[in-house]
Amino acid sequence: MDSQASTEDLIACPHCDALQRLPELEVGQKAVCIQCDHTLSYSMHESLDRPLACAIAGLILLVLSLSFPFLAFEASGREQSIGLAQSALELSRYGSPILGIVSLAFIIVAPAVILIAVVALLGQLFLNRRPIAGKQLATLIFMLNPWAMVDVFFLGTLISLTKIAELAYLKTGTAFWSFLIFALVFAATMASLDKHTIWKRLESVNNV
Amino acid sequence: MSEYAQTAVEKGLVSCRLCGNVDLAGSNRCSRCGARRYSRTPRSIQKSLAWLIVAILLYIPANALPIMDTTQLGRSTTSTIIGGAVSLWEHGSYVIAAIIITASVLVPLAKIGSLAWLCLTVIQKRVCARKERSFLFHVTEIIGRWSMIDIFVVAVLVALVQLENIMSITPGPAALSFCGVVIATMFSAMSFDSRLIWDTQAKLEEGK
Repeated sequence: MDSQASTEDLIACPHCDALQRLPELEVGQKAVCIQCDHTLSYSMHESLDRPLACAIAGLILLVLSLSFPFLAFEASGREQSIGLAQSALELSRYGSPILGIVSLAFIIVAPAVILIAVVALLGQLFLNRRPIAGKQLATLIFMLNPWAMVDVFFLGTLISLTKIAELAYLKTGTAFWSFLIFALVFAATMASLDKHTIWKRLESVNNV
Repeated sequence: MSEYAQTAVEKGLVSCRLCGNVDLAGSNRCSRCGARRYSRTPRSIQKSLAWLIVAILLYIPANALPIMDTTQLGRSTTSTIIGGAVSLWEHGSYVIAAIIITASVLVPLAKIGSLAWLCLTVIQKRVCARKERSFLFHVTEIIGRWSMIDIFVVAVLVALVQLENIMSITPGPAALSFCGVVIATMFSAMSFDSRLIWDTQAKLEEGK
């Protein structure tokens, strides 16, 4: 009864499977599922250029955050400063290698891979190329997203600072501030990526 | 118009959970994003419950054992998650104590409880409160990663505070088990196919 053509502009809500057609959205509008109210798509200005710009800024900030000291700590006349990547190594050395690897994966590796994938995918679209590995890049971005915990880590850092503030003198390094901005930029990148827009765009580019 | 929308599966179509694309049944790969797709994820509830049991088992050592060892001038003190929050409260850091209690105790418990309830209601093919259950699942999915906060607090403290005999902090066994709790509940939520929440109505209507 259904021809291939009629399924083309149909989508199913990934949360509840309700079949529906998405209306053309105007800038600032979002489409929610008719059945479960889950957000299906939202529209904004420069829906591909904005996340691309954010992702490039994010990568630069991540490099900065990795190259400068993150925090310094002083007690009884001795000072110790750590960098972000180094802190995962220290964690492995003094405690638990698994915790070190997990932290490194959630705080640095996952966000870095996501941002590189965003730049690779949207960069190719920006240059009007037919993207190489477009599907794989988009899949990677959306699958890894829950495992990037930059924001959680930053709040954790703030809490640990208040925990030892009374025991020792603390200094924030350059990387602390660049990491704060990185966390904001990363959140902005993910918030400006609309799944539906990206898949639609990939589909149309691949069919040309 | 009926209260419930028609779902892809009722129309003999298969939807992709990753990109929302709808296809005729047949291929087991999505024609748009290439992901493996199923009308309903096979053994979704079993997998979800299995991860949930792992989470519950790990939750016990996570709270009973110490999460952190602080050695200051030869004197060593250990603290559990709840103990740490209580001592923060006694020192007057009410906000931070509240954040720790919420993220490390309340959120994991609420998450385990709601996933168990969601699995149970799907098994029983309940028809009540669909929209609410769908919303609950959505919240569970989003909020789960914030439980990692206490792990990151320990990670930063361990990495930072290593001044040999003056003062040092090492992670306790609870850190690893708690990390396991968070990861297991995230896998449990990912295994849960929320489309199942909406299915029973369709089946009931079919029987009429």
